[in-house]
Amino acid sequence: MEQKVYYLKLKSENALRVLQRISTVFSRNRFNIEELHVKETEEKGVSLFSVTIHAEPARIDNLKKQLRRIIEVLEVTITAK
Amino acid sequence: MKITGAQALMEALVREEVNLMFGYPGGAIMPTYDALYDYQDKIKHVLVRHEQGAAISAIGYSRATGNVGVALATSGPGATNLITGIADALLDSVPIVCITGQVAAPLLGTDAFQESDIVGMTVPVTKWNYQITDASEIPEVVSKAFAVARHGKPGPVLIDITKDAQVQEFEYPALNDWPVFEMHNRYRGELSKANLQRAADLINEATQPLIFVGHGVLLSKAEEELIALSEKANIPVCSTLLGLSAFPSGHDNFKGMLGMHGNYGPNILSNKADVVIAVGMRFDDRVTGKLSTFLNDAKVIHIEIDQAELGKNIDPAVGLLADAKEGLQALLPLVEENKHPEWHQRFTDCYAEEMDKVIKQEILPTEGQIKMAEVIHMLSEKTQGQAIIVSDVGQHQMMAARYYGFERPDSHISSGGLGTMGFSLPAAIGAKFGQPEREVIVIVGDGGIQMNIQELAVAMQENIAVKVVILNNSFLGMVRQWQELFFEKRYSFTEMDNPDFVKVAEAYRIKGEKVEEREKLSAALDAMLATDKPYLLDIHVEKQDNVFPMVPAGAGVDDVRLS
Ligand SMILES: Cc1ncc(C[n+]2csc(CCOP(=O)(O)OP(=O)(O)O)c2C)c(N)n1
Repeated sequence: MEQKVYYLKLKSENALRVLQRISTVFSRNRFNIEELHVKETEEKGVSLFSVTIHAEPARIDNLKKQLRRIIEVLEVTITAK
Repeated sequence: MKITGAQALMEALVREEVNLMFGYPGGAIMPTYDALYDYQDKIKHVLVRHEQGAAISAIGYSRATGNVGVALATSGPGATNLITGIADALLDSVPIVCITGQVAAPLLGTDAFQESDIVGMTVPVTKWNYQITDASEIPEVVSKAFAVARHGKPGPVLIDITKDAQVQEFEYPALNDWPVFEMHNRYRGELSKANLQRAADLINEATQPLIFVGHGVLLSKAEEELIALSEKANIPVCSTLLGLSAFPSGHDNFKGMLGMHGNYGPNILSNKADVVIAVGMRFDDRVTGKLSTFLNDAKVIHIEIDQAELGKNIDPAVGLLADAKEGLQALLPLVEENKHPEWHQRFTDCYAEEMDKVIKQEILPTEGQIKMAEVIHMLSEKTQGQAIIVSDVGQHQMMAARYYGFERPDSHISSGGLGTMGFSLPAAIGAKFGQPEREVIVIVGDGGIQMNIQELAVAMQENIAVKVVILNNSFLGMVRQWQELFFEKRYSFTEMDNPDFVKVAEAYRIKGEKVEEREKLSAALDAMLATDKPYLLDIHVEKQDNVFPMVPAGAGVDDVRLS
């Protein structure tokens, strides 16, 4: 199936290991991370991850749900290019 | 008042109502073991003989009781030995908390003696994990660990505590200030009236409805609600491997097991159903077979607690994000009484065919070697379906699932998702600690028993009366079956020369008996059931038997084979 470019915004607790938890979800589903940016938001203790991946549209919903399983992840939004 | 981290850990565990744990000591966890010495009246510690045994005993205890199981291990090899059990608990949604010691915080990242990054290693196999480097974190982190393990879809949590945090003293929170962590589910709304009504309408209009029962029914203790729904609308019930014992086998509406070695009717008729109510199950590939041909004509109502499971493999017509009990309770009043005699008859016909072509020869053979199914069938009759059956992985596991008639909930404990050989003995020890009044019987192969056979020492030392039935075929039977059917009988490394298991048991001061003849089987089972001590039966069975029915890997459930 045709791949599209997706932009993900993940809000999470600003804590150790969160990047690993998130990247594990991408890598076990064999999504390569094309671009990644992490920074604490104005709200103290909350980080914002911005991630770009290429993916088949049919797989995005499951990816989102798996990311939402991570205890430290507070919010996931995904938009297509 | 000041206390040490290790003492705080004990207090925190007592607050979580932990009164049992399975563990194995070592350098980095010694301060905790020292604190435990003073808490023996409140927390019983069982010394396992391999840390994999600790994690799996914690699982067995949890699955028999519904409580959180706890395992304790040291850093490095102690911690890594837990991982198989943790992975097992993740796939089978079992709430356990594993606590590991870690090298002192200043040594982290230096390749210190017995340092391993257990938190990093267990990220993919835990619901949550955390490393504690400061004693004052202990109360809240332990509270969170248990909350996470129990909440929603249960699962394993690991807490890694550095040695210095275990000895560090800190100001002990007063009783009422003890932090209690509360989970809130960001993704669970109210069960919407509209959704429930749509589900009920589908059920009320269905002519060939079918219920699929999964582990979630046991986890949420929804057995009564399930029976009520099935009886009210006269709906046939099929179970996944992990759902077994949630619905009584002897009930008229019970039609058997789904999946690769499930019953003929449930497999073949799934694709004839017009409405499927899937309760607390996740459409594992062993259940669905080839997904693209599964349930194409059915509208699926999926009651499931984990948002990530809704729509993962099967797109439901109605997804109800709820635990099985809540979901069924909400649905029940909207469902109308109904009767589906013709639909039930089709299951009866399928069962008759399966009986004729498979079951009869399996459970009541008159010649040749003893058969696995005949042992299970006899055991089922002798225990009247009241025992807890803890099976390992392989042919014997499928035979136990197929031929034991479970009549009580929480009675079938097996490693479903991970398929962990070596699971049964430690899991049974855990289950027996949790349910000491119940008969707990291990069904295991001659391969699997040797993967955690050292745990016989635990049964001996604790005089914990697990009954071990080895169905000994001198083969890694399930692999041999696949070699026979799909690899042109090229039996590559599946035949085994085994030790004398009765003598091994004897060395552990556990009584046992070898059974090779059909005439001696019944008396041997009676002797095993009569004792209140651990016991081992080494039953020599037909060496090259196959488990049927079978849905070959990758085939659709319609292609289920009877031979
Ligand atoms: C730890 C582990 N290793 C390998 C396997 C693959 N496997 C699945 S069933 C099986 C054979 C089991 O043989 P045995 O315990 O003798 O039971 P039987 O099938 O003969 O009843 C094997 C090797 C597994 N499930 N788990």
